Amino acid sequence: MLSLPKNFAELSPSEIIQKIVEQLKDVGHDYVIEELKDLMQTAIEIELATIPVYLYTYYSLSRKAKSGLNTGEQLDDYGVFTNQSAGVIMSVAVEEMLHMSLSSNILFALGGQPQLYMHSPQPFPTNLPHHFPKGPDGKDLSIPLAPFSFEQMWHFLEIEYPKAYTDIKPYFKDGKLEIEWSTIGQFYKYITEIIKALTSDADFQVGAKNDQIQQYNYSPNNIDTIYPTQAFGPWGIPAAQGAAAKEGTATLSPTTPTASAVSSYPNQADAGDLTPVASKEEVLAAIKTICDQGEGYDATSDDADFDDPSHQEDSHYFKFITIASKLADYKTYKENYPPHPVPPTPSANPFTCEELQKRGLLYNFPLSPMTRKTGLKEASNVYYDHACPTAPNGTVSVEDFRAGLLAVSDLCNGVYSYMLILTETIFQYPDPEQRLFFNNAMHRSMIWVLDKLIQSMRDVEFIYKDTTYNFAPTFENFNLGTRAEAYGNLLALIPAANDGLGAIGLGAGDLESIELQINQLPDVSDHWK
Amino acid sequence: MSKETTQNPGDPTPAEYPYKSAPVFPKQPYQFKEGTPLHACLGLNACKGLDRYGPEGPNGDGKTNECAGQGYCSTTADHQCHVRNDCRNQGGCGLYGTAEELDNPGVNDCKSLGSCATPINAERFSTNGPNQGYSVWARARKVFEERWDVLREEAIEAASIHGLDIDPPKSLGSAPAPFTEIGPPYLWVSENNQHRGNMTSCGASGLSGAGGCG
Repeated sequence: MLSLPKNFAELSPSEIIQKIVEQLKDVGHDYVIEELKDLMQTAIEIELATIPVYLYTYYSLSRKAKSGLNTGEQLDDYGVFTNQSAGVIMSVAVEEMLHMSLSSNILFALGGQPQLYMHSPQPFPTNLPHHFPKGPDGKDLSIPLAPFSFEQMWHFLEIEYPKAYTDIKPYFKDGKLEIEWSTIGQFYKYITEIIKALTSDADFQVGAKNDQIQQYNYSPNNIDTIYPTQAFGPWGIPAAQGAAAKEGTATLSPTTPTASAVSSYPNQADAGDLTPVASKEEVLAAIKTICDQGEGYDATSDDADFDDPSHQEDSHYFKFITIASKLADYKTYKENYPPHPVPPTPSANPFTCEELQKRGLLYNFPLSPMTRKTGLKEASNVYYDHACPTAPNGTVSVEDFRAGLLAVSDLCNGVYSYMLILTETIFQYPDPEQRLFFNNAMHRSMIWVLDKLIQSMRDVEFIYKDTTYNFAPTFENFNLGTRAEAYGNLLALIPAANDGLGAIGLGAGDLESIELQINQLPDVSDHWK
Repeated sequence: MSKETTQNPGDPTPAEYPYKSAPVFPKQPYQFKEGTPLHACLGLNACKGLDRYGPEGPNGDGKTNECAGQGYCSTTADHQCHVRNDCRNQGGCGLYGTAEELDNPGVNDCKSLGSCATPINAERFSTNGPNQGYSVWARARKVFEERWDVLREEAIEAASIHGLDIDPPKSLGSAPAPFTEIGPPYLWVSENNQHRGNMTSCGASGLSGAGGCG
């Protein structure tokens, strides 16, 4: 039986963790492994919780501005900042997907089955699983789905806050010792200490390495994570590999450099990889990747800015605070930043979100929208089943408009939920068959279904309590039935979405290609019967 | 924010169209007989006459390219992105994919295992791996040259199986002018920015150098 460490209020987080790990030595190995499985499932849910939060804010930014302003040579300061902010947020979201995959691999290695379907946080705003109710600023840690703003960047900083500057709180719940964490780093510190002290390699060889998510499914960068640092000539030609300089030729646009010359790559290969695990050493390395990428390589030293040994990739925390430092409200939160990494100097000419919106670079997404008002405890300001059309009177009925919003939102949530089932199914596709499954399942669903659907949705406007908003994804857990029924139930959402397109101002073409791609997603029903 | 009204990205174009000497980009690739070795881009063809123009040649007078490696543009079904290729060796590469995939453009085992859009526009650079920041087309051509012995054997075998009238040479010719060193520029593919639908590429950053899909 575990007990609360004596005088724990006077102990440091590291001392509390050590005391609890010492107790775990006496409770039996089976208990420790079950505890570790529970912790890894929590880890998966923490990582999963961050993904919709980051994606929602990402999609609120328009990297394609009106009138081609955001394309190459016409890019201005606001266009560059928007593209950079979006690229950086996507680069972090990609690494959160890596973290979720690594945590899933560790749980699978222990003999567990990662649970993702219906495990996305709901409703928003939300705290992270097993986290303190208060954030580093003393206010409620209540993370919304929100458009890009300084306030939302502050929430991102709370998520990635360095562990050295916060506390933990052990307590009893239902006769079981639980711990409230205030940072993700502390949580993984606890897991690390348990693994170091109380496990052997054999504990991580229950689930075969070959069945875990393989390294070849991860790429640190892609065309969505990179961003231009200034205007560029859209017709310039990059150099061939091995050329003295990467700049290439911009002879067709002599006043501006090539796209390749001005591209910035937020993620680096040496910052960590997607590794299957079968030993303590591999598991600890995987957890170190997660922690380094989040809060920094060594969050109490001069290395705190970086998450990789080569010092080329900023930690998530530093990526976000760098973006935040370019916004006008950055100075007002000055007292809440930890001493390391040293906060960037505020921008002399900060950007404002009002101006971003005026320039067509920021969609007016609502705060934590939900598809339907259920009457349960929820804090959303906007429910699509109570929204009204912006169209002049008579062109579309309120009922038809709402039905259209609901059908498309349901499809979006259905796709999101099916993606979680697809992720769980990866573990049933061993290497090398996994490569083809992963491509067809994950890449197709993310880039060719969810991404395109959200991009169509966000051009739809609606009115809610006198405010005009853009239609945004709600990232709700959508009940597709059992995993064996899910694909059929996903396909069944398409006709209603098709019927509702016209009422919300979308054309048939907006869903045609998406429907085609949904039809090409793997039907994994047989894996779950 | 209301729905965007757009003008062509990329405008204004360079004052003088620089590819006047090149034939007009064919919107659709020629449909070759089953079994014909298809390829992802300009300069990657396995034999005389195998390119996007087919046996009619670029000017419609039956004068085709003379040699492997000299063909204009892709013969694969055009596609926009990672996983959307139909067949082996048909992925264009550069935008999404792993370091290994992006270092081997035009090389993939089967349908849905290829990376990125075809044809490979000259402006495209790799976003990942050893070729990060460098020309995708130049890398594709280099890989093609390095693999030519193997590809040639495969082409000979395909010709034998399918009764194709092709005879792949031992050495490759240069890619056609004026694109010999760079691959097909999007300015040419889009006919001086007039037909941006001739190919689209992917990604939201606006850096792929072709008509974007967002």
